[in-house]
Amino acid sequence: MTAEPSGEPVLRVRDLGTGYGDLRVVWDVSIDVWPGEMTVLLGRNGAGKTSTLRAVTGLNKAVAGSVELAGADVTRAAVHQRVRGGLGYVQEGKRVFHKQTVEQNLILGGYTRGMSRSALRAEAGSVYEVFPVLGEKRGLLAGSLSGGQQQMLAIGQALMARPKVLLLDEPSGGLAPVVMGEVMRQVARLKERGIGVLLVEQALEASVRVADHVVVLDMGRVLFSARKDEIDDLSVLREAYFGKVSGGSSDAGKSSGPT
Amino acid sequence: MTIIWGGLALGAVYALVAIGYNIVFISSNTFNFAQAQLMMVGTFVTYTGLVTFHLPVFAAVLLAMAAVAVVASIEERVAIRPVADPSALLVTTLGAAVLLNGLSQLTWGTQPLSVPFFAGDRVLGLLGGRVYPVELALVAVAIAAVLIFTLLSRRLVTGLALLAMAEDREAAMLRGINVRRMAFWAFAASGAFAGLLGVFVGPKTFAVATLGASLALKGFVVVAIGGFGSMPGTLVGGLAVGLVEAVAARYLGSEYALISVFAVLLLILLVRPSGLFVRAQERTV
Repeated sequence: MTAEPSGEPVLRVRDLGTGYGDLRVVWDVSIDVWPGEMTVLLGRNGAGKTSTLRAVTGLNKAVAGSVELAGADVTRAAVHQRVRGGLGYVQEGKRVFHKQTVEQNLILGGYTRGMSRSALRAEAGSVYEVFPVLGEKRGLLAGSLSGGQQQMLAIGQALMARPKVLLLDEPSGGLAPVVMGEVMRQVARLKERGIGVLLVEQALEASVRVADHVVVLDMGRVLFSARKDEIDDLSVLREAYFGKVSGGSSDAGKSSGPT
Repeated sequence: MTIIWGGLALGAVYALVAIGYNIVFISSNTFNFAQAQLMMVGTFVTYTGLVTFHLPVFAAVLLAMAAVAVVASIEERVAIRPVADPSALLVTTLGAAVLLNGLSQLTWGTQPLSVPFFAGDRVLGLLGGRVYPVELALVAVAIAAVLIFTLLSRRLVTGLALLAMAEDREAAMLRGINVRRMAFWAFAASGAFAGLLGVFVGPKTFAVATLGASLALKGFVVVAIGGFGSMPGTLVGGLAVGLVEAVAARYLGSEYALISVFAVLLLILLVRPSGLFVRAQERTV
């Protein structure tokens, strides 16, 4: 049995429940994310992954459970307050501001830091180092970028806020394999900056490779949760992911999950 | 040329109403049907400050800005914020407009009140035409307002945040923007702007309780011509509407003034349905 990382999780989600109006779609979800580590949230379409992320950010109301960000309870906090507290969220579908330039998008990314426009423009240089193509296209409208470049911009925008924890919703979705590889490489490097990453993905093999912790959701509930080094055999995970989990494997995984 | 000056001045008034519409539209994707009424209240308060209280111009302007900003803030809290369905805002802001019309009539009566212009009313000869100082001032204020707002929205981080809110409110929230507070302050600012204009618009149009209704219609036409959310569009659209109205009234007769404006609107919308300065976007379904 491997011990949990030392220190406190930067994001602690406990028994979270959420939904849309009267329709409940997520029950009792518990997830931990540690600084400099990556938790991968897997699940099929409709498993409740995006709904969970939306409840963590406050876009959807949590009807049960709690969300702690860097030790502070933010369950009832507004979205902008959570962002100011260090929560970053890169939504699915490359949500950048199409009518603004690449540079303006990055400046907006640093909105919470209260810096001048020129200081933020200088700060955008750190994003251009990670994604050089954005530097080359800094004066172009974001809407004119390719899908992969827009995804890089969305991640760059989130990085401008210097988040403590970053939620990424299918960053490789809809991208060509070569671009997807580049995006995933940069996502993996976020850990080196000390950022805790909660990654939602459907690409099982690629995401588990860079994960420290794996959580599988199904029908809005946690089906499997374990540190990766506790998973001896990926087939266990594959079975959980594809919905053919055996009781023993699932339970073993769950027991070492967030408590 | 006198007709041109008169048309441009009238067009500047319409452009200024349209700028008010756009400030709110850009920041909260809401069309405030009571914007022209806010400007009307601005002319009344300016009249009260200058004529009733004999305040200096500066103090009267400040009073009008503060008063209309408060009225706009109340409108935001009562007619905008509690409304969940955006289409219902058409009804609630129209209701606010009707209420402001009625309250203005109760407070200031139905007779037009003459608002004195601080730079006098001596007719000037300019480029072969006759023009009043207030008419020149209106054109200058409209141009300055468009330049300032365009510059602020592009240069300030707050300006970028307002544009971001207009484009994708949820994504703006995720950048840490307090969208509700920002929308409130934009509304209050549009009120202060309407109050500031009272000292320029009042001397041209008089302070009268029917002013809101007539300006609202023309302001809407200007926004439709220039394109929703486009500041340069308001200037070009406003001046075009003012000129068409003045020229049609002079050469075709005053009964053709309004119909000429709508003929131009129809022509422009046939060619560019999103307005002159807004590019139509394909809708993703």
